[in-house]
Amino acid sequence: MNDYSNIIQVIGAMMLVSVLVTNANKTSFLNKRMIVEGEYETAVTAIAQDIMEESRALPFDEAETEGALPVNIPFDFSLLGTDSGESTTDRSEFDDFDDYDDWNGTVTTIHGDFEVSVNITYINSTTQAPTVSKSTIKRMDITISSNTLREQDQETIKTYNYSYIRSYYAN
Amino acid sequence: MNLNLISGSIVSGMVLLTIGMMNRGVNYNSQDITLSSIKQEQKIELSEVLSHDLPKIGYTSDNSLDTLIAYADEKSIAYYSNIDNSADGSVELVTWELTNEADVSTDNPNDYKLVRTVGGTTTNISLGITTFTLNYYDKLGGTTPLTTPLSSADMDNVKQIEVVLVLESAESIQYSQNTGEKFVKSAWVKRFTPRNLKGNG
Repeated sequence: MNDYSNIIQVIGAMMLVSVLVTNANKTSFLNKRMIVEGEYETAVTAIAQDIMEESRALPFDEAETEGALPVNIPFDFSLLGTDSGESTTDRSEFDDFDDYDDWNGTVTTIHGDFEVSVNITYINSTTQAPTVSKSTIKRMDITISSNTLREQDQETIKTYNYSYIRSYYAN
Repeated sequence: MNLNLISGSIVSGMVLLTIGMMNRGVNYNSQDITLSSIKQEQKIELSEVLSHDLPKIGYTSDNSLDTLIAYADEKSIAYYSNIDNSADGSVELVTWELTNEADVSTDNPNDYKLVRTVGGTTTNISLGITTFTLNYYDKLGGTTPLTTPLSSADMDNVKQIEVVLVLESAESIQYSQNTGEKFVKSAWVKRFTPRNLKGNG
């Protein structure tokens, strides 16, 4: 051993401590991130539930809003989306379930801003698959994202998807 | 003194300092994470009770209630409902109120007792609640809440009720003497659309 052996040992020990400290910080950061994600994900779920509950309070179809029930079901149902003269952006102006189709907006809560978009599709009552034909079942797909919620790479923004199926006969 | 001894002492001191800092950081984060987890669990439990109660405003098996909401303001709501779905159809007066009574069971000076009353039976909820705000909307998806306390005419127009809930930890945490104390928070915002308010307005 030469005169510098002690220094080399100390440097080695320091490197070891550095690795331990870095790992401890990393674990701590990951734990904290999971807690924050949990908090925000509760908010995301609440927003999705808000929209589902809100849309459920409206008639199933525009054809039901005109004072009389449709006669030929489902052929008398309207096309999906807002109808003539209706706002496409202001949810408070929506008067039936499928007016939410293609709606997107920013929902601001105590947790910040969330980007929300909604799509409605008709569902084939036999195959349960989306269809362009009118049917007695509609599915609402809600997509929510927030700048705070990201994938593991910290770059890609996470998206949360929720679906709600509504039947004309189980209104 | 030789060079090895001096440099070894300096480096050892730095290592000890690093370990000390790390220890403090780990302790702080550990407290923060534990308190956050507790608050999130308590928030979810409370949100489940609210999600059980509020959608049932005006519920009866025969839809016979004329008055659904008895009183409503920013911090309290009283409404009628057969909330226990009893077979005899009896209707209970249900109230939720954030009182002005400080929650003395915690070290947090900002929290108050939340009181839930169902048919005269009172439950005090002490979970470090600092905010319990109720906003009322007369339009589905509306952005402007009604002025509180609600007038009887407004009570007949309510379609949605938004709850803003913030819970804070009972004890504060502090990273170092130079940083301020903080209470760990957890929040929940939910807008309910009770089915029996569908015909309002």
